[in-house]
Amino acid sequence: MIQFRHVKKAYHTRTILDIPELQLHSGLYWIKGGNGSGKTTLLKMVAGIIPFEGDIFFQQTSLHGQPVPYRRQVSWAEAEPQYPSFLTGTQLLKLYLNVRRLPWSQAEPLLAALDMQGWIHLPVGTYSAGMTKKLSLVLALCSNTPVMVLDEPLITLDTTSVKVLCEWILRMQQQAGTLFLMSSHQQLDDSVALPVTVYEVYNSQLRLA
Amino acid sequence: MKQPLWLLIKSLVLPFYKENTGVFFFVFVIMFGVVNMVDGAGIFEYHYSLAKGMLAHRLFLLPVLAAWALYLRKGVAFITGALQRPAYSFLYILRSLPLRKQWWLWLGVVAALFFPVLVYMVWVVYVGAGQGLIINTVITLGAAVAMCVAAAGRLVYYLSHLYNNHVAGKVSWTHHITLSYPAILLLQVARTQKLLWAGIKIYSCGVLYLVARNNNAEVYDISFPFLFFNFGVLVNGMIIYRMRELEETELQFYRSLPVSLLRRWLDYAVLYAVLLLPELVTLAALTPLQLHVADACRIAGVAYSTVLLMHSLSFLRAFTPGEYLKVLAGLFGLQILLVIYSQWLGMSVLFMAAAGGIYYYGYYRYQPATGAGAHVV
Repeated sequence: MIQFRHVKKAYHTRTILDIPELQLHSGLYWIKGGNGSGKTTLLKMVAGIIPFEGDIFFQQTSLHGQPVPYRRQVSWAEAEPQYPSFLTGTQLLKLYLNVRRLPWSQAEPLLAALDMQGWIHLPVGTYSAGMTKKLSLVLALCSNTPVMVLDEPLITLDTTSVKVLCEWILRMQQQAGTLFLMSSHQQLDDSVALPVTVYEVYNSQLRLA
Repeated sequence: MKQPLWLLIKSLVLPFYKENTGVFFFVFVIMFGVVNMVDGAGIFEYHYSLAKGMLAHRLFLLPVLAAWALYLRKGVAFITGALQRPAYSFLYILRSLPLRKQWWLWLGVVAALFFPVLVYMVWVVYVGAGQGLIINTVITLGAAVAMCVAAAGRLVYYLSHLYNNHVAGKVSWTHHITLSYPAILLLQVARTQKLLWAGIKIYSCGVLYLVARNNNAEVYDISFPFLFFNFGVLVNGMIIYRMRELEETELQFYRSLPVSLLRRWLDYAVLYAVLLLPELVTLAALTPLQLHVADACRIAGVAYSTVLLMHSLSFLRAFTPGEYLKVLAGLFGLQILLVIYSQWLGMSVLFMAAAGGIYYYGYYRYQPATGAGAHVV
């Protein structure tokens, strides 16, 4: 369970997000909202990337109080991932796996499912937008953390990959009870019915849509 | 023709100058900032002698031409690297132009890249004509033109073969090794800042060596030479600034990984020890014959703590390059004050404590200047 307590995010004098109290239990959450409404800001806060007032907890672990144990439970994939062009996908994946103390075999099924084995060893600078996106999703999903924060997970992916990803998300949620927090403007793949709960960021509040 | 050229300059040449601000700042200070009036001779005489020396002695001319060629090669490599990125794929359209037009266009880009050298060339021609050193002036001019012509040809060729796999997907030996986080940052310095890094090392190690080698006295004052040396240490701030930029854009994901603050700090500590290795080795080599052990320790302590402090200061807020330079200037002022009062140990301890404190306070509170969470509208 993720819990928001007195969470506030302001930029200069403008409040972007104000979430006094909210609990999200295991499940699939879809965050909606217009451009610039604060969706990505919210997800970056949950992933521990940008500072904010208040605190976010996973179970009883506080993001501000116990930053390392909290980060062990949360994985993050950004909307438009950027990586140093001189690194290969393999090097980035090994860095992730080493930090999380996981074996290479942990990533293999996902690499195969997303058909990445032929180019993962190439420099990121040679990747297309879709390939970079797939890499960011593998980096997040291979860690098997109980919370997955995926910003716009479907953009730039081809239709086959969208289907594979949706199936993967559903399986992880059903088998491991993973909490997925995602944002998107796109519709989910119709052939995979994901039982999502939709929230909307509106007027700096997060509310059920 | 003018509009595509301006577009290319804006999208390829200006980022090159931006990325190498540190190098240009350093070279500018060395060429103009540290030259003082001695016996009535000032900056004019200094540069006149440089150009005359270069034109009068081919042994001096050759390394200068080699340095210009290396500089241009670096600029061309920057452009070819950029052309591989998806963001620059729109330049593919240039391939539809006739080759001659393409070449002229790239020649304009190369001239913009080579602009600082071309400006200096005007001065060299002036000196050469004044001194009657016509043959070497023509050789210098011819070499500069040949470099530009060849560089433009290289870019035309590169763009026409851009999507051949052996060009775009080149794999280097560094791709086969597992890299830790500090190794990634070091690799970035090696790729994009090696010229600046090497320049700093030549300057700071050179100052140390010359001062210590000429020092025969048992009792000496290290304060003034230290300030010269320390200028080189402070220029490392430009490398730090670029590394922090990389961290906040292409390595931002690392902030979300479960790595303790202490581990991150140790990573940075190792990284900066490696970057300062030439200075530390020079200090060790000069001790104890030319430099007292205590002085070597003082210099090393202040240099290392200064670099760590410059790094930590970048977590206070997202500084623009200009703002960050002002911060470094303030730091230099503080150092002068502490050196005047001979507070060497105090300076090292104070800077180290401040570096640790600011880092601990600022790491998770840092607000990036770009992306969501920064300019949310």
